[in-house]
Amino acid sequence: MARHGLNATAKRMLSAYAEEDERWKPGHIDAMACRDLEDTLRCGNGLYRLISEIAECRRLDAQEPEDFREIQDYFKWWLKPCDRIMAKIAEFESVFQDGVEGADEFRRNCEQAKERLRNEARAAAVEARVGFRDVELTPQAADMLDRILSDPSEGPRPAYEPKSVPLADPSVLRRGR
Amino acid sequence: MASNLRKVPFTKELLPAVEDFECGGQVYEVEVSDWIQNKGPGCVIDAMEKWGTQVWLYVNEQNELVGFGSLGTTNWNWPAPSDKRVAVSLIPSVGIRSRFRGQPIGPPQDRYSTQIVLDLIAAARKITDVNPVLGLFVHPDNQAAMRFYKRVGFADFHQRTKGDDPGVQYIGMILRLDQRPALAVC
Repeated sequence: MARHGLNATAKRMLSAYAEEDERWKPGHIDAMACRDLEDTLRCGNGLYRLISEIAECRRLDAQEPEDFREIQDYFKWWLKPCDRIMAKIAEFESVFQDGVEGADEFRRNCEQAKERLRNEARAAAVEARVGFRDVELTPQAADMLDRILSDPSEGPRPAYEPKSVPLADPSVLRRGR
Repeated sequence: MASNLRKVPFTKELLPAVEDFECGGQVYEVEVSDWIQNKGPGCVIDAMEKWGTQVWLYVNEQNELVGFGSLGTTNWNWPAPSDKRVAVSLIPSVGIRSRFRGQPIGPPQDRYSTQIVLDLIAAARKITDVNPVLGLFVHPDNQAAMRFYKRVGFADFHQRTKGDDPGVQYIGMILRLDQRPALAVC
């Protein structure tokens, strides 16, 4: 795929070179602009791979809401110029039959980034609901927690003696649900 | 005579065991069954992988799946402009199958639901790197759950969180876990 794309670029460049005396014709200008776009796509796709790798590393050990927000911001930032770039891709694909190098990967990355942000938003809502994320204590809650942490006699306690439930073999769940 | 539960640590491989888990048709009950069935981002597998949450499935003496419980840790932030935060234990989700609600007949402390929450409290007491506080959030329409948690010892601590529906404010409840000193807040 990459080789096909590179050849296509080279062909366009050669064609433009061969028509040096007609360099200011629209075809030449389009070829140059397409090459610039392909440079942008190479850069964008490389950045996407880098951000994805960072996200994967963080996913394996992240525990802090700030980590998730930072990764989310990277992808949002990456997506910012995407609509404009996608419009350019469509424009050049209609001009050059052999396509635009890196466009397929870029499209996939756009879809993945959007899906990732959609999923992240859904996860954030659930994780906020259960108390993991974005819990900023109200002044009353902070006061109550302060009192509990500073005074051992403060705070609601278990009404019954907590008791550990013994472990069972997981196979019991496979036999009879 | 009390019917005692046993528990199995939950793993991805046990998702089929909860595929028909149901604890009622109310919004807040569906939220609980969706969570354990991992229906979407932010549910049980994310809680385990991203937040280090422990999850257990509870079975009765007939090896029937009765319910599940979960326990994690998180940081809660002081209101701005303070940047103080406190590490606490958290029950992200807990559920009991509809057919076992109120079972077994007998003293409240022997009911399956109480056994599960007392087990989570016992497990939370063993987590030593957070403060001796256990929190959870309850859907405001789930009055039965709020009564139940109050009976076990939890109290409303004037904290609310939003979920998927911004119009719903989940009610925060906490319990003091004794037997270890408080850590310094950061």
